[in-house]
Amino acid sequence: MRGLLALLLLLAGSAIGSSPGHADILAWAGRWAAETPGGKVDLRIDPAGRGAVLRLARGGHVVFESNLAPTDRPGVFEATATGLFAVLGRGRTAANPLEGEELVWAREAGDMLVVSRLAIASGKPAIDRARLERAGERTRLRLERLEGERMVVELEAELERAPR
Amino acid sequence: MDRRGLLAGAVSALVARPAAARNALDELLGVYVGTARVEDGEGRTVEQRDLDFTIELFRRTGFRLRTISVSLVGGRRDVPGVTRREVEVVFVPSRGRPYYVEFRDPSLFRPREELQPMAGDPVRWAVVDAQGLHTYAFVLLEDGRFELQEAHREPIPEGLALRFLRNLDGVVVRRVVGRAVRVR
Repeated sequence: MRGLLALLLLLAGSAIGSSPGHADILAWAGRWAAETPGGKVDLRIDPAGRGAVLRLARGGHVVFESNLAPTDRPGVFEATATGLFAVLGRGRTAANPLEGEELVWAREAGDMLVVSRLAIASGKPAIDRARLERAGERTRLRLERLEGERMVVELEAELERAPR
Repeated sequence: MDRRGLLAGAVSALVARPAAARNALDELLGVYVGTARVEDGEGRTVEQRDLDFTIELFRRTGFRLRTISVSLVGGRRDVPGVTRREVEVVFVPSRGRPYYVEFRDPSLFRPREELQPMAGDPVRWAVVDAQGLHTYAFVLLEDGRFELQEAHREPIPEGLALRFLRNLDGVVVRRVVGRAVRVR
């Protein structure tokens, strides 16, 4: 009896602690698209483990492509290596911008998912991000980039669900 | 010092400082005192500070930046409520990149750890160029927002012009503007 109780507690604990943000990030699961003057915007989010794989392209160029895994901070995700690096066990190694790598992370804030990137370009901080916000059946996308002292908006678009 | 520490020290001694930065850094070395005005994000003055800082060489190719900042009360530093803050950061050249990175000093008792920005470790680096010394610190906050601090020390005829910004997730929330003179 005590063993059964312990098993139930263990299962309940693993279900509760499975991932703080899993359900929310997957609200965007699927493919989204919009036509803009700068070309087609294509967003795809697929479940992957306890997180998701996100790919955002604009005019055929990939803006973000990350495997986002939950961290121990609720609603915060880190990009992990994919492909060969993940197979080789580097999947959980966070990038180090001081070594020329791009640090990519995401956070949930209410109805919003914000995917951000830090790199050091010619010694200066280069920060850009994609803000995704639910707008009814659509997703509002805003691409921003740090320029001088503030984030400037590079693109705003409303994405609709698209066939996979 | 452990083996990795010895190796890091040896590498930093062998790596030349970014060529363009060498003369610029030499000209910035010294001891400075100055004053600064602290503004909030709307440009309102919220504080006056006295500053005392030193820029000195570290292991031939790097440099140490030690800053003492005294927040005044009513323009005075001899009344209750005055606070004093001392910060020291050491930078060494980054291999193959035109900037310096924070030197994370290993010891026998504290082996050097990998930088973990996702765990909240500050990412600190510096650039020395003809315009002066520029230091940056990026921190990922608990909720996933970022904080970026920039400090610019730029030569002027009397010493250095000082400019500091604290950017919270894309919005400037603090700005410090001041000047400093070199002292003996």
